[in-house]
Amino acid sequence: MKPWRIGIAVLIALAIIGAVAFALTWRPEISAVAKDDQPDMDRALASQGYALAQLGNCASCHTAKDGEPYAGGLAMPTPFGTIRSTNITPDRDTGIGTWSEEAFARAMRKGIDREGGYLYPAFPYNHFTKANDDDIHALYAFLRSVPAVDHEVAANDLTFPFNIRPLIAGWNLLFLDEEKLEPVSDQSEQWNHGRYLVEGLTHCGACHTPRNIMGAEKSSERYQGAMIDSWYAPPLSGDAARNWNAKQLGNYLATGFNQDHGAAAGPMAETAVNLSQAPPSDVEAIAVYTASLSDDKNQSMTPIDNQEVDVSANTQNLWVGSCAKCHENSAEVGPSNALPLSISGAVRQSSSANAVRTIVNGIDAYRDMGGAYMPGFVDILSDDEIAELAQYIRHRYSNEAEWSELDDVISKARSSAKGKE
Amino acid sequence: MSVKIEVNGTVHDIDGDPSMPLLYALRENIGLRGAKFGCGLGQCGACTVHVDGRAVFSCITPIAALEGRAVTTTEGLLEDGKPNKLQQAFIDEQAAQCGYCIAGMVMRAQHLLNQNPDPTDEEILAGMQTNLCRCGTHAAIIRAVKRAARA
Repeated sequence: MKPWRIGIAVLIALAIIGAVAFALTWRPEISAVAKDDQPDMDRALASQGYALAQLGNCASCHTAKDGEPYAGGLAMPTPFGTIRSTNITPDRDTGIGTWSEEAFARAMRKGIDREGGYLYPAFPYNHFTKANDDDIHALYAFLRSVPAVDHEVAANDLTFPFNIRPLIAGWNLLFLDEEKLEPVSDQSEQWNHGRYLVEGLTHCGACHTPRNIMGAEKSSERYQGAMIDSWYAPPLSGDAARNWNAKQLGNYLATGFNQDHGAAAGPMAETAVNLSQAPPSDVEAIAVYTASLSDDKNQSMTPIDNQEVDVSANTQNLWVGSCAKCHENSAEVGPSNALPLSISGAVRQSSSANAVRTIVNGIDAYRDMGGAYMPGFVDILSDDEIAELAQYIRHRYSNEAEWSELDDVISKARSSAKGKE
Repeated sequence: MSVKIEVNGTVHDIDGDPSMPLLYALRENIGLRGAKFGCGLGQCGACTVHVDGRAVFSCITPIAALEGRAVTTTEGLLEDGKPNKLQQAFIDEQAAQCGYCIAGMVMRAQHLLNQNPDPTDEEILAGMQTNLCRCGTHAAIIRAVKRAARA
């Protein structure tokens, strides 16, 4: 065949592929809601929506550090670059004020914005797609009721080709399962409601399930634990999760603390603060379902205290002067809910991230709730001193191998603690 | 056992257990009684001093952690024996009732202003959150911090 005929054939093939791709990925724009065409505020409905927003933890991602609630702009580092959360206040220019409920529902269920563009699955629409019509209806009403904030969120910083949004159509094809959950008949209504929340709005798997190379949750490793924001979200299912029962989980989720396990810290602390505002029956249902993911034969952590640990005199002095007063007593919880380290889960985890970050930052999320409080040690102890203390508690209060990469974890924790100022 | 610590520019030889809280060394061994014992657990802030320019709870800082580091107390903020700008602002606003929390409040506020010389009202409130006051002089303390920042 003559070269120019091959050239034409290739061009035609590319045009056909292009047309097919366009046809497969194109989504229609949904008309903007006119300014005078807004529905009246239904207080009761918006209140229901508020409760759902606490369960969905919406404000945590959609509020920037020191930003206005729901006005977006939180920068989230991902393996694909930095993504910034969107402004979901009713502002007509910079928020979702022109979005009809149909547009909102499409975003929540399919990850498509009002204009037909693809949203990145950092927004966990693959979970929100399980939400029923009533809940979407209430959430829409709630989001229309929050103060409109004029805040133009800066563009994402994604590396090529991840900045090409239509490629997400391929991701959705592989990983978006829009099928609603059917109730399991031999389980209680409470369990089924918990499942509806956990797999849906509360999107626990978005943090607690490890992700594959395309950033999707690995269905074969559901709830097996994963890193999030340099903290470790521990497993919720299987052997590692066995020490929790439903009552302890319910207590922990609603208050951020359980006396048999300790305090929620890092991103989980924010989640617990939001869940403390959600209906208690919903939080209990979440606890019941989550506890069922592991068979909770053990009701609590078996205390471990290896007592005499070979450590330098200096480390011993630091332990006594900084930590022991609150954390050494194994008989009961210490001041401000200081957990006896003999039953600390963080000390036994494969990742040192949670223990280190708690030492560096302390726990300060519950100030307004009168919950657990711990001072941070970032300015009191050096990196080496934190490393020595971390290994000390690891050897004394667990039977696991020494933590590796401790220096990296500590210096990363220190720079993000300083970055928060 | 003896541990050397530098406080307000002077090196002191502290005779005692290296796990001893800095607070005790300051008050008992050196005689600097500005910082107070409120809880001993890093929860109230009455013991707040600076280590290398950063506000810390001296009740949970063992002197073993202070080798080669510089401690500053409220006495160390005096300029030529006179109150510095922040301390004078506290005096001008009469921001004390029993006075127990005040040395800690001054050190915390000085840390805040060193990091952020022009804080907003919200930043002042957030920055002072770690320090408790039982007598209720919070409003006067906040006025004092604003006065020092904005005068």
